[in-house]
Amino acid sequence: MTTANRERLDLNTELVTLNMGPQHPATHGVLRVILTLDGEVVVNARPDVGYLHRGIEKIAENKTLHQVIPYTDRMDYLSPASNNIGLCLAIEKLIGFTITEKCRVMRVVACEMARMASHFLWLATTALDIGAGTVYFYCMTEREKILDLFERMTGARFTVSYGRIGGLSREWEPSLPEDIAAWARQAHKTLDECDRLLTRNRIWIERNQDVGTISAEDAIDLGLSGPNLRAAGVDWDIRKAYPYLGYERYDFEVPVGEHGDCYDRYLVRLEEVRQSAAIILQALKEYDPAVPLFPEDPEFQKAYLPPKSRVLTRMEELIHQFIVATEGPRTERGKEIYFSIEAPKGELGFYLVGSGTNVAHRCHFRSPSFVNLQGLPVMVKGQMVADVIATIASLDPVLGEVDR
Amino acid sequence: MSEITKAIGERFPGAVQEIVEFRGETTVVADPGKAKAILRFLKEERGFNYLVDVSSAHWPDEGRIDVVWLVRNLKTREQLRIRSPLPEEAPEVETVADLWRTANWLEREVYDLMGVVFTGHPDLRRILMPEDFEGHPLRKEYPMEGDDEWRNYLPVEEGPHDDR
Repeated sequence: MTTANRERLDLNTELVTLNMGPQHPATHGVLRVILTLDGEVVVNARPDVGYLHRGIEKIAENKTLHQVIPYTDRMDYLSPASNNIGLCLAIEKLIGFTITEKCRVMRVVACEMARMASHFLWLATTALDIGAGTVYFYCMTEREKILDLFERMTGARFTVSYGRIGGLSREWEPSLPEDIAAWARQAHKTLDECDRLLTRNRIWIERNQDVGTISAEDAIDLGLSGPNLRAAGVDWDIRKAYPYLGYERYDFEVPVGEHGDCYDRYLVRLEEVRQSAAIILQALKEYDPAVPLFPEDPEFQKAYLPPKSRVLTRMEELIHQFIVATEGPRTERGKEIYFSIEAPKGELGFYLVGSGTNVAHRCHFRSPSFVNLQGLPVMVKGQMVADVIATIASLDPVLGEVDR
Repeated sequence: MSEITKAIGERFPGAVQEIVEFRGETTVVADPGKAKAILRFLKEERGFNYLVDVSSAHWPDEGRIDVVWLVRNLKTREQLRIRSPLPEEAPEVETVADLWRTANWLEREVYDLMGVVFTGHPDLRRILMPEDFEGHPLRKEYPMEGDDEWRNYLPVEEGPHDDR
């Protein structure tokens, strides 16, 4: 439109290149976007990533399988629990371990709590980017409660390293399930408040509706996943398509958008938080503290970590723990698996190749943010500069995961 | 899954070197020259409309670099992995970025970290490492701690703003 205007008026204007980032608070990390502008209209956008590359894949190929787990915390650092539980599931698939029912339930709770924490932070920062400061404080307050629960669950608020091969790092304290349930029951209050503040808010609608639109065909072709894919109208969720951790038993709905714009992505995430709370409450009903966390299979007993309480009091379990933690399970040379989970950001996949030792020969992370970010140029072409900020925010990239 | 692997075998005789089944996943080890044709067949005739992942693995003792494509049919939920062994000295394979736009960045990542050249790629540049970086860090011979000083930082005494 603007190009046509320019030709008609015969104005001699030039395209301007604007460098957005990498040090820009609204890019959610160290994302650099090279914009080509015609006035205020975006002609082209080229995301430039890699500023946070730490070579996690290379490191993972030089560490034993257990030692990789803490590194995954630093990938999507807004939902560490789902990362390292995902890695543990992938490793368990590669070496053929089974996990107990109790462990499944606890992992589901941790994963869904991570999803809620991630989406609350997403809503907080996105609203702040667009200019709604109040929402930020509401959401951060709610997220704080989740982090407090994570601290009681795992001993860490943020980089939890909760997953262990075949189990989890520790049992829950007796009062924790009740407190999680109590929190999950009231979590919708904050959400309803934000809902009332934003969903029918004139400014919010103007800034989000028909902004950063992507069609379902484009979204599939560009490999988008998670809320970004669902907002475009594709009913696709790994939890439903390839159920893991017993997700097929839980009653929850997958929200699907229609227009593929920022507003639909917002609505999809809002509903996902509600569904996550429902999953947590269902999972907690199945939690039975009396059952052991690790499988008690005599054949594989030496392969799993012993209970932490006994490690600290008995000699044999201490040695056992030392052997498992330093050597760990072996992988079969040349055997390869791909395992993916529905992380808060989308499909988080792990491609592992066995080496014949206790180290993975190849450890590739298919990170959702990396692939999702590729959709940015398609979404922002023809839009205003201010819409780029709204679109980046609605894509929800985490640069720790993009660059790995 | 066996139906699809059979169809590939019939359509591309001699292109399939091996079919591996492991933990419910199917891997078709395909001739590198035919990999793209197989992927095109899967996309256009079998409805594999979603490219999940492009990855690679280096096997120095066998002198090869594997390139791995994972494709998915969103309707039937089928997944299939195509793996092509390339020679370590000059790994080169045709791009699939024209079939799925997802492949653009995923192939750039494989090029950047593993040094596989995707011929016909619209924009084959480094993506994660700096543009002036030398070497491909995910190759097994590349040392963990890097092979040199970080070149972007000049030593202090040679620094451009040194006024002493």
